[in-house]
Amino acid sequence: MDVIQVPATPKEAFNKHRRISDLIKAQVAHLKHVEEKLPSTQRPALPSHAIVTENDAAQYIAAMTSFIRGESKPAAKPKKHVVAIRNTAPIDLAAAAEPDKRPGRAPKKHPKKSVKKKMTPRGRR
Amino acid sequence: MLDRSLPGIKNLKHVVVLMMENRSFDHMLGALHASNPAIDGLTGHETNPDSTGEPVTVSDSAEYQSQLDPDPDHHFPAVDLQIFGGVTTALDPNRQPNMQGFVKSYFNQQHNLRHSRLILNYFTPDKLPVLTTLAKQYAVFNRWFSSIPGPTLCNRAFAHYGTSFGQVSMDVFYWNKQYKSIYERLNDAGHSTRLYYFDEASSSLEVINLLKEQPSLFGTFQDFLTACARNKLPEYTFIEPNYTDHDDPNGAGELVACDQHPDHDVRAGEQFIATVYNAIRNNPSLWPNTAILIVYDEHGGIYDHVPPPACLPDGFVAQPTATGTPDPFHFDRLGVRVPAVLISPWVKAGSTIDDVFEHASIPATATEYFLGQYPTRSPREIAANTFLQHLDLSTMRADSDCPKFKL
Repeated sequence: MDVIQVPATPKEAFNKHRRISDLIKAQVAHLKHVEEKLPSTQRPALPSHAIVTENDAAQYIAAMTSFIRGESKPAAKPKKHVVAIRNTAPIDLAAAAEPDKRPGRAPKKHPKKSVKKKMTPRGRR
Repeated sequence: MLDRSLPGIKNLKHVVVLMMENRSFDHMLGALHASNPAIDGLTGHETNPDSTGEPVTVSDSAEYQSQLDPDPDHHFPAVDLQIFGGVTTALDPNRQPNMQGFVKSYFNQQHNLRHSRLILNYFTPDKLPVLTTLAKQYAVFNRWFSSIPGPTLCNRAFAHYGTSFGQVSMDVFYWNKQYKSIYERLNDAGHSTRLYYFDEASSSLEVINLLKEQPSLFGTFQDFLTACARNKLPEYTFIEPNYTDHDDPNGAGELVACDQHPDHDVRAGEQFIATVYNAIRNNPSLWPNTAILIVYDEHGGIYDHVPPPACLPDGFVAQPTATGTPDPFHFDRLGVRVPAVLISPWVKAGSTIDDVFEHASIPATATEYFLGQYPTRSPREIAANTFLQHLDLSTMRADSDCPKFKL
């Protein structure tokens, strides 16, 4: 049987500014519930940013998950090779010209503003 | 009762479940009916009325991304409309599911007639080489339904506990739960088990009840791959995909969601499924003794043509305040059908399985195989069909007979 080539996910599929779905809202709500049960001395160490986009949610979820799991296991060390589903297709010129989508781009000073600007119909999830 | 004399069962050491997000059977696998009529997919002539009453025919023009935006409604009232076509119990106390309300339901979100018709789109097999190859080369479940005609979390709860403890929504807090999760059962009996989420930033959807209470049960997807490579795979494994597009917390770049939840790119999910498969398929110490189930949590509001059957009531009742409909729900009907594929070198290529399954079949199967008798389970789980008996070949398939994927 021939080896089957799996198509790559194109670069433009990635949109960390996409508004969070009901699923992620529920996941965040559950973690907020956990956070509210914590002693007030521990809460300041946790992120308190507004959660609008998938990346906002991911940052909060990562902090809370590491915190929760840290009770019995230290947070994971940075990995040399993160095996993940990554954008492997070549960056086309249009995608490269889009400043918010470039990997390694420093966060903007006013993320809320940029989020608003980028709210295409695709972003209204 | 599982026949433990089957060679595939005698060899079995590991059961791996990968649960993806929000796609219906017909949307992903329906086109396979053309090449294998035993697969209960689409003829291409199925229709749904739009909001003007005009029939809309299913179309093989599903796209990887951007078509199902906004996310099709799959909360309880919307799914009730999708399944019963708008016939309420007030109109007909004996109403029967007719799968005629999908376009109407999607129309309700934007009042865009043209856009609402996209909910009937399905993929051609060439667009989904991983899932459709696995379906063609192993066993497809023709009747695997989501457990509840509702959203993600209550459906996923059935995969972990065999019940949602009366929940039909995303507000899942199982205080005083009377049934243990499959992980707790296995741990108590000295069996190894892990629930692998993608990474800390994606985490698990079982936040309150498992992650908080039993963090040692969890690992990341990298941990899963490492466990496979080192032949340390637990006996029972459950894998969750990446639920968000996000920057890698460790600075390794962009991580694209691979859960296939609309409007995430379906190709990323194909890669993820292939990665899970390859980790086992390419390890000769694991492949002969591992069964993999790939299944979706619910249909995500997307069309399927098979009416969900009635089922044994779960012993819980969700009141109208919870269902969002005029009626209480007695957990006596399954949700919409979802893709499900059983993979093992002990499964005959091109098999179809016609018995009814639902997500309670997952803990039911793991319990039956690893623990045997275990009475303290939900009525639904006790009644659920199990699936390992389909590892029924008398000899293992040759290596050259089992597909391989290149990422």
